[in-house]
Amino acid sequence: MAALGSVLCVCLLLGHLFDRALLGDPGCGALERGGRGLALGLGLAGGLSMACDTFGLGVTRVTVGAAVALVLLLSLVACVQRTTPRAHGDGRGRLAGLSARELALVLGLLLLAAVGVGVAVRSGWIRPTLQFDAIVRWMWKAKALAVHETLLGPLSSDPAFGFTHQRYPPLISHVANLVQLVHGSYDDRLQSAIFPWFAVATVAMAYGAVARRSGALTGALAAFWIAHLPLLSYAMAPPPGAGAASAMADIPLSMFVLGAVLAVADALDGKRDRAHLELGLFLGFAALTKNEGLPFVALTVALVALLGGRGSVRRALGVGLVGAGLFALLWGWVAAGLPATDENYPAQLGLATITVGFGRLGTILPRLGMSMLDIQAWNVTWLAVLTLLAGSVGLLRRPGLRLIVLLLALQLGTYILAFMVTAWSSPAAELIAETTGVGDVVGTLMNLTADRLLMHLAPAAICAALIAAPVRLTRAG
Amino acid sequence: MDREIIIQVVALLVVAMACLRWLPDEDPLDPIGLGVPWETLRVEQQLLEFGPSSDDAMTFLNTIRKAPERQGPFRRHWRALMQQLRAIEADPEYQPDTLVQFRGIPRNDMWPLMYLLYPQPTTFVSFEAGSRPNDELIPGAMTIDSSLMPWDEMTDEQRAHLRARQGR
Repeated sequence: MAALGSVLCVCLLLGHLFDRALLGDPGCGALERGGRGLALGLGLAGGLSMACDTFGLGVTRVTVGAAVALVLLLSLVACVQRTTPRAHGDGRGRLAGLSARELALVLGLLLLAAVGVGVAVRSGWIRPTLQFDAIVRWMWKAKALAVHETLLGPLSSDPAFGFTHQRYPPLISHVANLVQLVHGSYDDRLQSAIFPWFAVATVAMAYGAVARRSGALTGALAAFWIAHLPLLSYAMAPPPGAGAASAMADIPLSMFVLGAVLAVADALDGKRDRAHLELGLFLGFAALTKNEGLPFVALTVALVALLGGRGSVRRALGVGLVGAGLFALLWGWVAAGLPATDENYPAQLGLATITVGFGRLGTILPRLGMSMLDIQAWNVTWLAVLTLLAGSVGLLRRPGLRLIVLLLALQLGTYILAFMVTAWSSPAAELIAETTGVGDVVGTLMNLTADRLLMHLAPAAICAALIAAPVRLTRAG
Repeated sequence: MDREIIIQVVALLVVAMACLRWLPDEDPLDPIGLGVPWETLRVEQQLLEFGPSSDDAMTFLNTIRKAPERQGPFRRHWRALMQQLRAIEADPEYQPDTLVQFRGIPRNDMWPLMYLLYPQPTTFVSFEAGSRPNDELIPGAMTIDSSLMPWDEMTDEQRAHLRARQGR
């Protein structure tokens, strides 16, 4: 526990100081600062570990420790030297101005939100890695880092290990390995216990950002809602499990997606200085977490260029340079030389394949709808999000909110495109398709993955819906 | 109904639904069995009793999602695999470069075992790729053999592989 606690404290300090030094203090509350600090810190620490590996230094206590210490020191010096500007704000997030009833509701929802993430944190502490993909993709690479002090050895180059999907970006494997660097030996349960803390950062960021824009009550509802998503907090099914304690990359990706979405909204609405820089960082971390982060980078850059107002092209280029540059520098050029043993979706994006894929929409769209309506997995989340957004169409004139909604919709569209062109198969899926005549391989794949893909977008969608439709106890005005 | 009311109703529904999940799963107020958090907590309580890092815990976790009538065979199968793995590790002749040969192990069992053994060199041939419990022994290798399940205890995927290899 001391090793895990140390890593979390260092990540929190690293992210917070970096945030204050480079990105500016937006005048927000402690929870949001803490959440964003932890999110940035996990990304930065994992990224520094990746840098040590990519540039041949080896992933050891000395190299990673020195890199983290250097960034900490530079951030501290920068913090001391600069006077951080107060960002815009109207005090709506502050608890002091609330009535007794509102304060009770806010504190109650935050306490229940703590229970939700607390369940995930406890599960992460107790359960060894169970999920199949978590074992063969992420934790295997974390073990390889512990054993070889690099991922660029036999695990990456030997095609026999292709089932680990060698080209998948390994940021979270590096984050899990941080615990081993402190602890001194590999322990599956200990290292996988860091994963629920991505959810903790997600909930804290969501509360603070929504509270700043829509009031503390709405912020508390956002925190509660996300913390009690079944697939985040406690559900071990539907397969293959997307929960925060599952040592999968979906919750970490959803955290970086949320960070990026909140940063882009703050940037376009003029709420914070240097939010574009933070956006670029979160985009880079998203791309280093899962392949799904790469189209997210491209879509964000394109939408910022199109909808970002004055100077938008210049800003979009800057965002793209940071986000895509981070990915290219730390992993892109390495992955280009590794065996292509994964599904290799970019290679499927031909006109012929896409044209044929239109025939799959009759399976894809209904199943996606069924996933969204599945109460066991989502409660009433997607119905509620769509209802709140549908009733707030006029507010979509706000550039930040409009961009978020478009971005999430387009990202969902890329997932639909992936299902259209996928060459994935398994003998069981083919057998089911052959013997029943009603299911098909894509349907089986969707049963396994649709909920995880929706989880990437869920926290951001919830925040967007609540920013568009704040909850008030009394009528406004 | 004005917009503010709709937002409040939606918020109440979200909170109520999330709280409803925390009703105990056999409660009369939970007729559709939504009390999943309590199942998860029960699983974790069992893991704590086994010892969270123990082989019993792993066996339990790897079989809890099987249908009740199949849990027995799967648990026997996993216990047999883990016993063989621990026997190898306890063998005085076991060295870091000793090859571990899997014979007839299904792929979805083989990969987690390989993860546990890593970086021990292992054969990569699974049941689905043609490995069988009576494969010829590789000289110098230590083996983990499948307590091969009868046909009616196999998963659909294992049967599909077996049919494919038999040309059916």
